[in-house]
Parts: sequence; C-alpha cells; structure tokens
Amino acid sequence: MRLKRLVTLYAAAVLLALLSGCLLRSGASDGGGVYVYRLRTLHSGDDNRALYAQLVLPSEGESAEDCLVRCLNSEQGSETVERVFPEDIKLLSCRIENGRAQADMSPEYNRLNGVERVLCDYALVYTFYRLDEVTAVDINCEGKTVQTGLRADFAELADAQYGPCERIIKLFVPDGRGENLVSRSFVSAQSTGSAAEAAARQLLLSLDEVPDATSLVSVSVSDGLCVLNLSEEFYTTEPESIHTSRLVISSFVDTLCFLPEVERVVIQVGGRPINSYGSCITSWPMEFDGSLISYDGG
Amino acid sequence: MLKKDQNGKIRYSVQLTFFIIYFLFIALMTGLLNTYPTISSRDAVFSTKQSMMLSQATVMASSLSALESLSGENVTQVMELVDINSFDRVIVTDANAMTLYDTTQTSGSLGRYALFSEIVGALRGQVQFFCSYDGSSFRSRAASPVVSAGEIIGCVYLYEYDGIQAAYIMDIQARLRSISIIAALLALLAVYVFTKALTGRITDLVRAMRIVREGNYDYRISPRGRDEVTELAQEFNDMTQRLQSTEELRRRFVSDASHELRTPLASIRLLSDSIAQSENMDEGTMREFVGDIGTEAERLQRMTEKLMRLTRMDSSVQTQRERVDIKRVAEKTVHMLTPLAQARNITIFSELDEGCIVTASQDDVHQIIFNLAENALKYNSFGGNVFLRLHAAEGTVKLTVEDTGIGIPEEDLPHIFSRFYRVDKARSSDVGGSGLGLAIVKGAVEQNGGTIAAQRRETVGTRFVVSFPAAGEEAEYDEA
Repeated sequence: MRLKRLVTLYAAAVLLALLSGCLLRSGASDGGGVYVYRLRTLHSGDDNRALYAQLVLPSEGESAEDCLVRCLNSEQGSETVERVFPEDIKLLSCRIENGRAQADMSPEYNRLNGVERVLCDYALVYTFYRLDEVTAVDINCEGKTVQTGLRADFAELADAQYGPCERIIKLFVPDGRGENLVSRSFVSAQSTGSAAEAAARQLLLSLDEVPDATSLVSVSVSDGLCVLNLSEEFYTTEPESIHTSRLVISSFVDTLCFLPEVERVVIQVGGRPINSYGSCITSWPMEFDGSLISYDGG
Repeated sequence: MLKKDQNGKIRYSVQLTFFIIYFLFIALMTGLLNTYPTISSRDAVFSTKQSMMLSQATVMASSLSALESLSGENVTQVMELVDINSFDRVIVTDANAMTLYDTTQTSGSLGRYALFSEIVGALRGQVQFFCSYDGSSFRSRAASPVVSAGEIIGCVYLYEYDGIQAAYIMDIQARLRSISIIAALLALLAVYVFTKALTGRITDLVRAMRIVREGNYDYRISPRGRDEVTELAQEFNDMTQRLQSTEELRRRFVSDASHELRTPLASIRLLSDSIAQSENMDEGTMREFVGDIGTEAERLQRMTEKLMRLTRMDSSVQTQRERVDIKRVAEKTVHMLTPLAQARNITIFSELDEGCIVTASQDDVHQIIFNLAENALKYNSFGGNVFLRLHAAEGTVKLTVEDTGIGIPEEDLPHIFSRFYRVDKARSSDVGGSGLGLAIVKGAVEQNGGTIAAQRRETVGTRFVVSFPAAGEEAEYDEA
C-alpha cells in the first residue's frame, strides 16, 4: 500500500515536472504567470547567467504589462536575484503597439552608461520579448527614443559552451482563423542544437497544416543562407488553398529569417528545393517578407 | 545471532553487537577514505586552476590595456600574439560587454552583448573566477577587466573544459574504492572469525556453568589462550573446585551431624524401650535408666545448641560488636570454671594484663574463652595446670590458653577445628565432647576479626593462641 502511494506520488511529480517544462518552452506565460528578468546575485555551477528569469503572477485584474512594470521596479529581492535598475531609476510605463514594446524610463536612466546601461536594457528586452506579441523593444526616456528595435537575439545570456542557455525564438505561425501569421515566443535551450534547428522543429510541431509525419532531415546556416530539408511526408497532404500554402511557406521563411544569423532561406524536400507547394509557385532563396504578419494578437 | 530468552524477549549476541559496531566503523573509515582524498584533490585542482586562469586573464588584459580603445580589429591583432590554445573559449568585450573577439565565432557572438556573470563582474572592476566539478570534468571560467589610463575599457573572459584532471581524480577514486572494498571485506571476515572465536569460548563457559549448576561439580573447562576470557575460565574452575569442596564438607557435616544426633537418640530409645518392655524392673535400675536418658537428652540438647550456633555463624548473622575488656571476661570465665578445676585438682594460673580491649561480641568472647578453658580442664591430667595469659602489644591482643594434659598428636592438629572432629572419640565422649566446640571457637574468633592457632607444648599438653586486633586500630570489617 505504501509502495503504491509512493509510486503514485512519484508519477505525479514527474508529470508535474514535464508539464512545467512544456509550459516553460511555450515561453510567454505559465498558467497566467509572466517572466521577469532580474539581476542574479548568487552564482552556481549550473550556468553563468547575469540575468535570471523569475515567474510572477499578475494580481487580479492586472494586465501582463502592468505586472511586469510593477515587478521590474520592485525592490523585493531574494537570495538569488535582485532589482536590476539602480536605486533612482524606474520603468514608468510600458505599452505594446504593432508588435513593439514601448518602455518609458525615468529621466535618471540617461545617466546610466557602460555595462549597467546594457544590463538594464536587456532586462527590459528579455522581459518583454518573452511576451508572444512582442517582436522588438524600444526604450524611451523623457519623450525621446533612446534605443529602438532591441531584440533578445542581440545578447547572450550565458556561455552556451558551459551549459544550457535559454534563447527566446520568435515563431510566426498562422492565427486561429488561418488568415494571417502571428508571433509566438518559444524558449529553447541552446545546447539542443542551433536556433534555426530549434525553430524549425517547433514549427513542425505547431503547424497544423503540415502533415504530422513530416520530420526535419537537416538544417544548415552558412553565410546567412539557411537550407531547410524536410522529409517526403511534407507532400502527403495538399494545402487547402493558395493562401494556406503561402501561410505555411511564409511561416518557415519569416521565422528563420527573423534569426540574426539568417538572411535567406531555401526549403527542400528530400534534398531537392520545392518548386511548388499546393498551388503556390516558389522561387528560392526567399527573404523575410512580413506581409502576412499581424500584430493585433490574432 | 538473535535468540529469545525464557521470557520471550530477544537477546542480542555479543557476536552480532561486535559485528555491527565493526561494520559501522569500517563503513565510516572507508567513507572517509573515499571522500577525503577526492575532496582534497578537487580542491587542489580548483586552487591551481584559479591561479593559472587568473594570471592568464591578467596577462591578456595587460596586453590589451596598451590600446586606448578596443575594436574587433585591434583586439584580434593583439590576441594573435597571445597563447590562447589552452582555453576552450576566449572572449574580449568592450566596456559595454559587446563581444569584439570570440574564439568560437561560429556561435555568431560577434557584435552581441555577452551578459555573463563573470564579464559583468569584471566590467565592474573585479577579477572573477569560478570552477565546478561534476564528476567527469572541471569547468572553469575567469574574467579580468582591461584597464587603460585608469578606466575600464573592456574585459577578457576565459573558459576551460578539463576532462583530463577529472579523469585522473575519477581514477584515483575508483582505485580507492576498490581498495576500500577489499579492505572492508577482509576486515569484516577477520571480525567474523575473531568474534566467532571469542563468543565460542564464552559459549563453552556458559555451557560449563549449566553443567555445574545441575550438580556435576567434577566438570572443568580447558582454558585456552592468555587473555581475560582465559582468566575467566580459570576463575570458573577455581570456583567450581571450591563448590565441590564445600559440597563435600556439607555432605560430611550432614552425615556427621546425623550420626552424632542418632547416637544419643538411639541410646534414649534403647533405654526407654527397656523400661517399657521390662515388667518387673526394680526402682533403682529404673532410676538409673531414666538418669541415663536424661544425660543423653542433655547431650542432645547441647549438640543441638552448638549446631544452631554453627548455623548462625555460617549464615554470617552479625552480632553486635562493642568494646570488650577481655581481662574482665576471662576473670569471670575462670570464676565459673573454678568448681570444675577444683573437682579435678587442676590449678588455673592467670596472667591477665590491663587494657586488652577489643571490638567484638561480648558473648562470642565469653564463648571462646569458656570453650578453650573448659577443654583445657577436661582434657587435662588430674592435678595438672592450666595457664591463661593475656597481653597486648603492637596493636594486637593475644590470649593464650595452655594445659598440661594429654596433648594433641601432630597429625591431628590441622583438623581439630573441623566440625565433629575428635582426636580420641572414646575419651571425648566420656567428657561429653561432640567435636563441635573448637569449630565454634574458630568460627567465633574469625567472625570477630581474629585468628586462632593450636600447638603442642614443648613439654606436655596443648597451647591455643587467639589474636585479635586491639580496639581502635583494627582494619575495617566487611559487613555481611
């Protein structure tokens, strides 16, 4: 009886851990919670991150943005993390417009320089970039834009050689109506492969329009050119319409081209570039388009 | 190893206890042996790596500090002149933590901010070092600020992955583990053999005790070895020997007592049967027979009283002790025995010193002097002498009772204090002796802390010497 109870508890713990892992990989929020990046004070052998994500839950009726503003400004720390902004600096407000997070800082922000400024900036960037609808962060101070188009890709949180390091990847996937592409955040552990490979694998899981049996044969990035090779099963299901074809192709291309190291994409099936997909004629290589991306949430 | 006793409770064996204790001790030792060297080695490696990496980082930072400002190009030129091959990754950043140089350029890190804790710490002005050991490798990180004209212009970050040192430590650990296991097994085997041998001897001892307890007093065990258990076995044999002797004495005493008691009882019965069966016995004969019955009854009574006295002595019932002036007791005793002495025309000579005080039972002292003096009179020649001397010297009070009587043969002297022992049965019966008087005297003397000895006089007769510690100078008595 006791053994049975122990086994049940263990199974529940494993399930909970798996569930947590899945939620983590979804990136944006966990059960309604959001991630705030703070300055790490206690270093361990696991990794050498200077900024560390903490999961927080918005209060009742509080929006995600307001919660993040509150938590970023909070003096409350713990044994492992503390507030990243120096004492007299505050994040006044934040709003999201057309996929960009506008962070308004207090006037004292302009006095920051060097690594302290970079830490503040990227604490903001990683915090807001983790939201699904945010693809870039602008930092404003005293009505002027100080930093624009900041992305999490512009920094390394930790040495990937040392251990797993999370990387926030933006996926552009069809919305629920199948009309446009919307952005979604996906957090990958970099040691599992290149960002392009992680993005491609996640897209295969996320795209309902792609046959489930489709697998990733290979991904390579060289001199800005990304070659994505899919298995033959990609052709087993015809897309419903030309628009669907365009959505699927654009999803792959825009997602991969959004990575800093990728400028152009070639999609192959069975090692050969696809000439058409459904009724959509393709020519390679393709670059970032973005015309199908909608930033209104989808 | 676990058994149950008569009450059903589990009884732990010595062997199991020893085994568990030794097992725990060996486990502790092997645990220490396996952890301490590994920890020491690991700490030594940490220390070595810290000094090596920090010095290397400092050297690189010093090389870069000659530049006024850092750029990708000039940093690359400087780093080409420095030995970086021993490190798995070398990064140089500017003051904002932007990567200007990275030996692992395939990661696309150039132009990106390296927000590593070591780089942040170094850009804040402090050298950094961190090393971790996960059992298969040492992974070390170090960072040093690049200072030019008193200003931090960048940072050097080093990362090293060392599997060789880790493999070496793991090898040491594996060897220590093997040695520990072998040593532990050998030690446990030795413990088992040793405890088996020890408990085997103890088990033999217990078995011997059970045999003796059942009444087999002849049984002895053969002591083996030269340790405490051997001593225990020897003491057991000695004790059994004493038990055997005591048992023999007891049997003999019971036998002798039965025999002595039977004799007067038989006489009484014979005489009473004679009276009962004789129809025409004349009054004189009848009075004579009745007188004999009374005499035998008196003898029986005296014997019974002496037996009871001996029994009291044997049960070590403590009588009240007090300061006794032996001279006074001796004078009283001599006075009591004067009629007997006069009847046998025996002269009693007394030399009794003053101040002969002992701590003893008044009754016992009277018994001692009375018995010895009475014997001296009973076993003396008609017209003989009895000498009573009392002296105190060097903390001892000595009483000597001598007679000029028949004396005691040399071969009988060692036995005269034994119960029911009589040198001449016929003669002692004539004077009403039972063979218990001197046993009582000896018992009383020893119970009051004294000693008694019997000797033949140089001329004729016997000398008895009783010694007591003088009152106030005697050793402590053991209270029974």
